[in-house]
Amino acid sequence: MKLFISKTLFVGIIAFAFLVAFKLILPENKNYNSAFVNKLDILISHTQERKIVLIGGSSVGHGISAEQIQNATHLTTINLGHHAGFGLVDFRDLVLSTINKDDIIVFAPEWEFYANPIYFDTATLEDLYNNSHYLELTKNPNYKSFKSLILKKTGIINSLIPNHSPCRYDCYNNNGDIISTCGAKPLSITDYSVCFDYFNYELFSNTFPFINRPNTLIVFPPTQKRVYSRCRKQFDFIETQLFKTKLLILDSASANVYDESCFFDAEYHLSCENRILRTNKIIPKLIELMKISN
Amino acid sequence: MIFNSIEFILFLPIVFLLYWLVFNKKLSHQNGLLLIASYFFYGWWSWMFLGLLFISTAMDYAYGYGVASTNRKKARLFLWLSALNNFGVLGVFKYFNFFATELQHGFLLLGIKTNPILLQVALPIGISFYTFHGMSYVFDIYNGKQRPIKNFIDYALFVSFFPLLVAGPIERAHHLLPQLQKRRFFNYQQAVEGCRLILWGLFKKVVIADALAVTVDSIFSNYLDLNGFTLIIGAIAFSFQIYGDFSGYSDIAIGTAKLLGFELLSNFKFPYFSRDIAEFWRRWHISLSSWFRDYLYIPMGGSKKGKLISIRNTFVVFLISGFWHGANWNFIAWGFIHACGFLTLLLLNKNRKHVNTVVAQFAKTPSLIELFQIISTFAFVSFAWIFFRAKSLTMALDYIRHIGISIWQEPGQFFTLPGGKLTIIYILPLILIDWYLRFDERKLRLPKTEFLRIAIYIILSLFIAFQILTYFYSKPSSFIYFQF
Repeated sequence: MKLFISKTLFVGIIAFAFLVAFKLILPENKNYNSAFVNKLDILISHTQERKIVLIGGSSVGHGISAEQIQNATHLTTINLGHHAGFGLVDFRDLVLSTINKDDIIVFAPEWEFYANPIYFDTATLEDLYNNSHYLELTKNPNYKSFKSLILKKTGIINSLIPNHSPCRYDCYNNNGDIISTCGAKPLSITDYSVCFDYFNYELFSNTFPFINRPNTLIVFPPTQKRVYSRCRKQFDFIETQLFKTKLLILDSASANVYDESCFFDAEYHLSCENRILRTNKIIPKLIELMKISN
Repeated sequence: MIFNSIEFILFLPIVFLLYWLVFNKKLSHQNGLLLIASYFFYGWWSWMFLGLLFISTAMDYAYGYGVASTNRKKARLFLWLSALNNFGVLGVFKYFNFFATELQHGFLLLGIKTNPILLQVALPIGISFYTFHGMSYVFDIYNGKQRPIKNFIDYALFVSFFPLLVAGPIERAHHLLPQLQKRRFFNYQQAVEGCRLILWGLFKKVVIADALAVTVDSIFSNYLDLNGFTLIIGAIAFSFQIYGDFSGYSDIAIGTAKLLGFELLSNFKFPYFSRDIAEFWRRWHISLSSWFRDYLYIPMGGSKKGKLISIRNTFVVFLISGFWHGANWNFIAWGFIHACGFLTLLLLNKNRKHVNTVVAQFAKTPSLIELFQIISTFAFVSFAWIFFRAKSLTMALDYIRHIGISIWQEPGQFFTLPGGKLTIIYILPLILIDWYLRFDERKLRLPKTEFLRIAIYIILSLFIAFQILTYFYSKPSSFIYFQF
């Protein structure tokens, strides 16, 4: 019995020592996925202020400039746009808990969210803190001290992912915009299909109830020309349904169609130059909204 | 409480030390402690369902006395009452909503609109397992294999023994009860084997199965957008995920029981090295398949009453086995597919071809024929797993249809998926290690040098600890079989 306990303890202690060593020695990994931690930290630190929050997938991270909006409106603007695969539902409540009545939300979901508001991709979430558990983590006062260990774990996982990923941790500015693509040579653009036949406004509205706030502006996602021509019927249907409501919508799906050359790499990722043009279209509407809410 | 949680990692050493150092003087003390620990273990998940567990236990305990009656008619009556009671509990908690909805659909076909009452109650964890424990006790008494037990604590512990309470292995009364009725003494070798099984089981679950779950979930959630090749890999990855998950759970359960001086039934014997589907079912979830064989297939006549009766019995057993896993048509379809595979062998009298042998018994590698047999059996099993993993029968059929229509499009797509490349990294070691261990699932063969053994323990512990600690502030992932 004594021998068994002592040997088990010995193995346990050595394993624990290795674990502590890992925590101390391994550098924190900084990458696209773990950057989301910072974005939420930025948001939480501005809870008390009046602000503009940009919500959506990577099309927002790449395609709308929070910095540009902040410069034009003089309001703190935070770009929460991150990989759509994280899903929007999981962090919706956390984001909303930091939003004040007079804050402005720019909501620009990808087409996937119109077809399936609870869309998410579990594979991507694994890199972060395994699905929505991450949110429980952020609510926990101890999460920051523990965060580093998790980032080390993602570091090990990400060491297996090619380094040419365009969006690394340090490629965000203080507003959360992805800036690493600026000035970089565009990569090849993949084709994709978002011709979803299904759109249920009620479900969409129930999942994202904040769209009914008077201070929420809805923006259609940037869409490649070829994709638009292929899925036009479905996009038109969604657009018609939305226009029937009292929601505040910036323009139309067709106004967000861009030539393939305007994109940096993947489906929705506009290049920096085109982000500026797109943001310029959003700013006047936001200023108008600010005047109304004032 | 689940095995891959911090709570269990604290709970087990406390129970272990109390059991061997404080409560080891008398059998009644040992069993009393284990019963309290088992109820605590279950109550950690939901104390409200402890009542259901207790009532179910008490009823079968009482029926056991009724069945032991010398009057055969009376005994049979109590046997039926026990079956009704256990299936009734299962029916209410597990199948009520399924039948209510299906009835509604049936009425709709006749043009009658109904508004079924649906139960808004969670499925008690382990209900399918502990009800089967209870029935095994009553059936064994009826068949003369077991005498009714006087001590209620011993019986209650048999039903609720925490290592096997929530997901088996489904124990037999005549196997576990005699062990419960004898005082246990600490056995160093048994405890070491237990620890090894726990480590290996945790590794399979926490490191391999949970990692594969990421790829599998991603593929099954987005199957409409993925090509056939990726969908095939998704099905294969799920085959290994469910194996790692459930056999991992069983190893932890058997290992934990060994630490406390018990030997539980084996549940897995390297099923993916089976050479035909009949062998697969002698190696996969053995405690359930043998339960159905002993308490359903054989009482119905087995294969001894002619071909037609054999065919009927095979279908009944496999369909019920499918339905046991979940109240949904896709599980029934899964059972049906396996029934068809098994039946082919049964009709050709080839279902007992590989009963007591292990693949490549006297060689290091399988022969070409064996390799072909293993791969074809695995392909069949993986195909059936699609029905098991899909959320509905329609989704399963759609998934298969998509494999067919887009199999050659973008063959490299799978590797571009997050976690895609890692899938092979996780599957390959599992296959190789299982191949090395394939002669005895209960004794993990390790190097003779102590230094190497300790190094293996530490590496496994590190992987597990890293994974478990990552989720320290959140919920650990559950085991797939908890939902059944």
